[in-house]
Amino acid sequence: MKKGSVELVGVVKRYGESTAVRNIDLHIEGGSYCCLLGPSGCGKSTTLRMIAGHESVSEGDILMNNRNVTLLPPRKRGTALMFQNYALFPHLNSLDNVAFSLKIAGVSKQERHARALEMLKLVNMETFREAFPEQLSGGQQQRVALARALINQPEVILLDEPLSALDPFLRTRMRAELKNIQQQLGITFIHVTHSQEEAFALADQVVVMNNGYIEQVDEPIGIFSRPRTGFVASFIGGHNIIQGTLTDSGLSVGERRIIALDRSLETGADNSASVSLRCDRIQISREPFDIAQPDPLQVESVEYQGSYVHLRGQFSDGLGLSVFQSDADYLASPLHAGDRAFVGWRHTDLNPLRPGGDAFSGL
Amino acid sequence: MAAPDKAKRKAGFIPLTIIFVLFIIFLYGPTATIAILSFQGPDGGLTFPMNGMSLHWFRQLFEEQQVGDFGGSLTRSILLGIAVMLCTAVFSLLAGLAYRRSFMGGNVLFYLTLVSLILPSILISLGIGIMFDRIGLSPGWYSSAFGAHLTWTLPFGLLIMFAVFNRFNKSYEAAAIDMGATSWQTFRLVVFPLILPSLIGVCLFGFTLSYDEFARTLMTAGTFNTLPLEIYGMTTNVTTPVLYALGTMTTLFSFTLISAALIAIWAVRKSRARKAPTSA
Repeated sequence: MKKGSVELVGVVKRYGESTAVRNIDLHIEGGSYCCLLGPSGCGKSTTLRMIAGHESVSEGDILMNNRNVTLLPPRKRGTALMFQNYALFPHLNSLDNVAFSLKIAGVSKQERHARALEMLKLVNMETFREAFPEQLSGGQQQRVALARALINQPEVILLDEPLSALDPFLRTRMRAELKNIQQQLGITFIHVTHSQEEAFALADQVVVMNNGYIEQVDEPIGIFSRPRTGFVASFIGGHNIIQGTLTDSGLSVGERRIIALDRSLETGADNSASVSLRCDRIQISREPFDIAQPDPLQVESVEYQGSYVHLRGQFSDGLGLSVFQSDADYLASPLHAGDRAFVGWRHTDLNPLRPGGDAFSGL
Repeated sequence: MAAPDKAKRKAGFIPLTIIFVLFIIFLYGPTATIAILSFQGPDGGLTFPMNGMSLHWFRQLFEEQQVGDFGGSLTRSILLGIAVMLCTAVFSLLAGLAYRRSFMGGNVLFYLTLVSLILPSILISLGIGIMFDRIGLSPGWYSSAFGAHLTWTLPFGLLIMFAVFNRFNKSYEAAAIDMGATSWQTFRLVVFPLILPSLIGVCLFGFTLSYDEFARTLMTAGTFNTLPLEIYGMTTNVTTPVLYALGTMTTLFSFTLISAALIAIWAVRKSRARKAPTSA
């Protein structure tokens, strides 16, 4: 097994009456980039802080390299935590910030400064070694914070929303730098974020969390192409969720519509079932076509998004759909709000969702 | 948007400016008047007009028989101020740290501390004086007055530390602990350096509160006067501008103290800025 593997077994975190994390089982491969993704209050930060050792575990165990670390203090775990606002000490310059843990460990001044300088070189910050945090930009602070986390050669780096303090352009750049350093050093990164874009760009393994539970664990491609629950499909966006009742001929939606299926669905109470359908897998045209639904969709809004156009519409029976049309198709025959258009999809693009659970409703 | 020019000022600007200027004159006028009158010539009196300019009254100040014990009372006030300052800083810091976590009776203790802020100073002074008398101890500036001053400075110091720790970002401590620091190391290397400027503020505050405290010293100073008591005594029996010279001297002393603190803070900032790279 590779160094830096992390395993959570039946982990629960309670704060008095309320439960922040409910019975989580998770295996994180050593040397991988794992993103904990979810809305605020879903328990992702609490989970990270439990792995770091800054939060006690109410139930269950945390294993690192198959060693139980549940009761160990942070420093004994071989982890390093990078805080949301970096928590660089304002009274120390970059070099002393990075060298802080070596000072704690009693390393001589000369050696700790030499090693800290090595780390600053790794993140291209050696020219700022004398600068104090308030004199650094957000991106520079992040690099120093990363150097400070790396200096003790941890096996696992834990990052709590590391990019949230940066502006969008810088965020994309620092994202690439994080991934670079992770691949260069081959250590495990566990990264908490509420941005699915960030998680998809960085992660080998995405863990989608909601309400203290894990909803799905998969590669980014798996999460996007096969969301397992309505929550995942709605949280990552770009999906329609179609709810109905399972009948012999397919999924019955509304009064008359039957959506044909090519695979079996799990059903909940009253035979209710739901599927997700990617917005970009729906074909849309003014004329009926072979796999189109028999009745037309009334287009309600058209949003230009650059490489695609986001169309929202509704059938006469109330079923609403979002469609992403490529800009080329859109420009060939532009649709406007109020137009009628036929839509259709292949059966294989319908992704079965596990019954029960709520969709993500935004705020 | 262009800056508003003079013509477009709001209607209230001129009356409010006049009130503000009057207030400034009210605030600093007396100090300035005393400062000017302290340079009165040897034949000058307590009021204008100035009868020549001299340092005559400053020289008079240091002749004990003339005007009472200025040197001695100043020394006592400074020593007392320093003692009160150190105690206030140490105990406010420790209490502030204690109040970061809740402890049994914490609320009651807090209100008890505030009570001594609310009670009239002169009553506290009287009470401490009577208490010393009943116990059979003779009050003194270094014992009963010291305690009386602490009843005033400690609640202030504690309130300042509350404000400091309310704003203190706990993730600094968490970061230190993450890097393996013990709680003592976290305090010594992270918390203490970060709150040091505020602690210096508590020190200055403690010193000045004690240095000019009158009411709480009145019944507790015993045989020897502190400076405010001495000055008060002089106002009744000294009828020369030496009184003004004394006022100017003590004001200068306070200004020197504050300037020294500001210069120290400025120097620290400057040395940091110099170390930083000039190119971005």
